[in-house]
Amino acid sequence: MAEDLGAFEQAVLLSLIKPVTEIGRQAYGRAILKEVQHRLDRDVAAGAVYATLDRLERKGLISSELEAGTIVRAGRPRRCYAIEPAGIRALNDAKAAVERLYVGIRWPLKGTT
Amino acid sequence: MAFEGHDMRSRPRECVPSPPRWAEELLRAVLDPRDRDTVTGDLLEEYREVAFPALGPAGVARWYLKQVWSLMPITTMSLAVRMTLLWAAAFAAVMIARMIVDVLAPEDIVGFFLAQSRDDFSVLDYPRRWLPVLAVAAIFTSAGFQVARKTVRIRIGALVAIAVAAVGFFATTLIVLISRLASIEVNGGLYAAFALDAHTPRFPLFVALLALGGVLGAFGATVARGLDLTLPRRRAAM
Repeated sequence: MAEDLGAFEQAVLLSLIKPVTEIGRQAYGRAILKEVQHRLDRDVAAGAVYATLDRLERKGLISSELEAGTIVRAGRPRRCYAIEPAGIRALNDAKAAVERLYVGIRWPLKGTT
Repeated sequence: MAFEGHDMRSRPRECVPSPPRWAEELLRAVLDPRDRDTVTGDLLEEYREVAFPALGPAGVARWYLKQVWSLMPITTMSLAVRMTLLWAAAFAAVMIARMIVDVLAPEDIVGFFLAQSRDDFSVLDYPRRWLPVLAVAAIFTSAGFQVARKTVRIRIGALVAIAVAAVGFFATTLIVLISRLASIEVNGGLYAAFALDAHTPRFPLFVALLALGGVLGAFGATVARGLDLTLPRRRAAM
């Protein structure tokens, strides 16, 4: 059964598939936070990103593994994330669902004042 | 990177910008054990590389606290607040019950002190002297137990019990104050319940109560975790 993804979940998954920032390519928590902020063009609470990553991992849409920490983070490890095939399927389904919603509607919408 | 190439672990904590230790410990206490090092490491990295150079010593502490707040799991927070209020209400109820008993049947304080000099004196013969203390101890332990069962974290259980002690202390003080303003003759609340002299300084009493809450809450939480580990592994409902 297809997973229903929220917009924020989609933003997190997309930032794992195709990061556009230098740090985003490292795919650990802070890097994903920066990437999502860049992608959404707004400030995002760190807690929202970590909670979403946790939820997506529990759903089996992403996986994670620990990497050695750097000096600046006092040797604490990084948790690096990768998207799973189920995550890609879920994104495809989410995109298809939105496109179905807009079938027959001329874009951009008119009639509002 | 602002600090690349410097071995910060070999330098004293004061020499490199570091977030408030208590805030970091608080964050570690509420995070899932698997996330403790990774999330605090991410935050430390941002702190040192971006926030500190941009905000300076004054602004960076505020920034860090804001991050800690955003990282507090909402479900854990709301559970902790609800449990604190619930058990603090129970704490206050014990104190009110003791006050009501004292109003309805005033204690013979002189008789009590005279009895203390007798050989056969036992405080167990005066339940109003030890029952409230026992009840409060049970409240702290239960708070720690219940929270640890729900969050699977001992430290949150202990923290909630400390919060119960703090809220209960202020609630009891407030009740005594309001009663006196309303000209209702009540006893000294915590002082009477804990058989303390009315001149005992308030602050040490407060600190002692927090310590008692912390110890008993941690005990209750440890028991809860022990039971949890003997049962089939379950994931916290949060």
